[in-house]
Amino acid sequence: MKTFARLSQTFLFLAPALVFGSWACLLLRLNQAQELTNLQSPRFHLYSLTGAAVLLGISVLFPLLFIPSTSDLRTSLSQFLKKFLSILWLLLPAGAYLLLPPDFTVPAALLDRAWSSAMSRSQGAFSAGRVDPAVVRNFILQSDPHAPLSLSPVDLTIVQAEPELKEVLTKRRVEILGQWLPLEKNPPDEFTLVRLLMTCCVADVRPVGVLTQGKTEGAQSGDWFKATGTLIFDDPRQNIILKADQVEEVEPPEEIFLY
Amino acid sequence: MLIPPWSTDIAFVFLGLFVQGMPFLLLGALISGFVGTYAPLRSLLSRIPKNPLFAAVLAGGLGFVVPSCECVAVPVMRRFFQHGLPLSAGLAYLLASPVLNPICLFSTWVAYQGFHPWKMVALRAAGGFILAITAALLLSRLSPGKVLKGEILLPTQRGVFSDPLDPMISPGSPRWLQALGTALIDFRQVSLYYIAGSLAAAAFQILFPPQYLPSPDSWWATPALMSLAVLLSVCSSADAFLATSFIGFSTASQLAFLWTGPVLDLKLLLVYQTILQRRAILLLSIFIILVVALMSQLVLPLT
Repeated sequence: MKTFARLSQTFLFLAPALVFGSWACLLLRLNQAQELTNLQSPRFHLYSLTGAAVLLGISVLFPLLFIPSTSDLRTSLSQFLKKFLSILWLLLPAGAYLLLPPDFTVPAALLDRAWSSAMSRSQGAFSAGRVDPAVVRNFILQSDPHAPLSLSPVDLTIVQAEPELKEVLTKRRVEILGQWLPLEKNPPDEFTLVRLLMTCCVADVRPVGVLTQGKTEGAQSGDWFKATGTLIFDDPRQNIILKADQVEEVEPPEEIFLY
Repeated sequence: MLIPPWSTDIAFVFLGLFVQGMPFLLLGALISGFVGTYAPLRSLLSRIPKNPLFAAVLAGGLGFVVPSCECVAVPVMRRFFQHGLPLSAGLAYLLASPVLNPICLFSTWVAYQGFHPWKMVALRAAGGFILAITAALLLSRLSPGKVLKGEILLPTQRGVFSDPLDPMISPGSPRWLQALGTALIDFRQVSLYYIAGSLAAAAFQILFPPQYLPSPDSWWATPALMSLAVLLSVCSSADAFLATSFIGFSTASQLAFLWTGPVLDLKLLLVYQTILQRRAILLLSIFIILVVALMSQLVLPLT
């Protein structure tokens, strides 16, 4: 009994170090495996890694800075159990990481956020991070007019607000990479190519899509496709439609999200 | 072992929320620990106006200049309440800072480029401020014992971990160690609730995907966006970008989304429990819903 009490006391003493250390290791592991970008926008990585470094420092120094409680465990067994459960609860993030699939498959629920699945109607300009209207504008204007231009559905939300870009892109061949989503009410050769746009973390992810006409057989929601064709800017249903003459299934890109 | 796919999806979103909020919770806890130990709180608190309205306006206005989001504000206010901060002032800051902080207002301005960004910033700031002040005044009419948690009202034990089974600080330890100990108490306590709130928000996002928003013209477009703000639990510095994607919804409905999210969401409902009694949280939630609904109707002519 005495040994058990001593072990329990040691466990309770070191528990905060264990919890903070597990969080720090989780963040460092996510960063080292380049998985952090799937959970959080890169512009916040510095904050998270600073937090991880502070927590790691605290957990290493913890046994030197603090001393074990002098309370007798036998007189407060219920408190001990409560404390034990709260420590298990705090270890939940580490447990959640173990549940994640190795390829970080994006939850279908994020793709199905239908409020903006046909974002070529969107009016907003996305100025955050790399999705910068000025960058997109320069990229399009300075591109080789004879080669297919690689654009994302988010770029198109910027294009639609700029008549000059629309003019440049008329009759130009463009290629768009995205995840395939069906459109139930449309003809069978119409679908949406979607990219997921993240501002802070995966909880605020929203799909940005472009209505695409082309042949895809046996495609499943979330499959990655590259469609090449021309853009139509005067369709009465949507502001921009991609009329694709070539649609091929491709491997997911290294970065699943746009930021 | 067979793991249902929804559990991995929940883990995905949960980890995103955890990774995003954890550094800010830690920052808030460190601020609360060091301010609680080093700052002349008694002297500072004695300068707060006795009149609840003035106190609320002063504290709410601080939200404009102090860049702190909800994750930072909760542990800081928890510690200030322990030192005797008046209810009206503390609640006003707690509810105002997530909306009024410069980062949130700047992100709103950026998100609404081309769509009257200054008007959106002004309406968001004014509405958030009014909401914070009125909610703080309402709750401050109740006795602190009915609003604040019992442990907040106990005399502060500087630098000693709150639970008798917790590790302790050696007698005669330096003040910075006392501050660190205090910070770690706050961090652990708020983290318990933050993890629960993030898990609940992640579960809602995956199990009940907000897929079917009503038509932007329907009478319940505004309540639907307010509910979405509660369920998504998105950080106040990111929600404006999300609001711009609600195509066709009126500006008033989008503002209702922007006013609700920073002060009332699933994760905050649990995190508030580190400070407030459950009944006070219920009262606060009902009040926020009513005031936001009213304000969104009042701004209709302006939008």
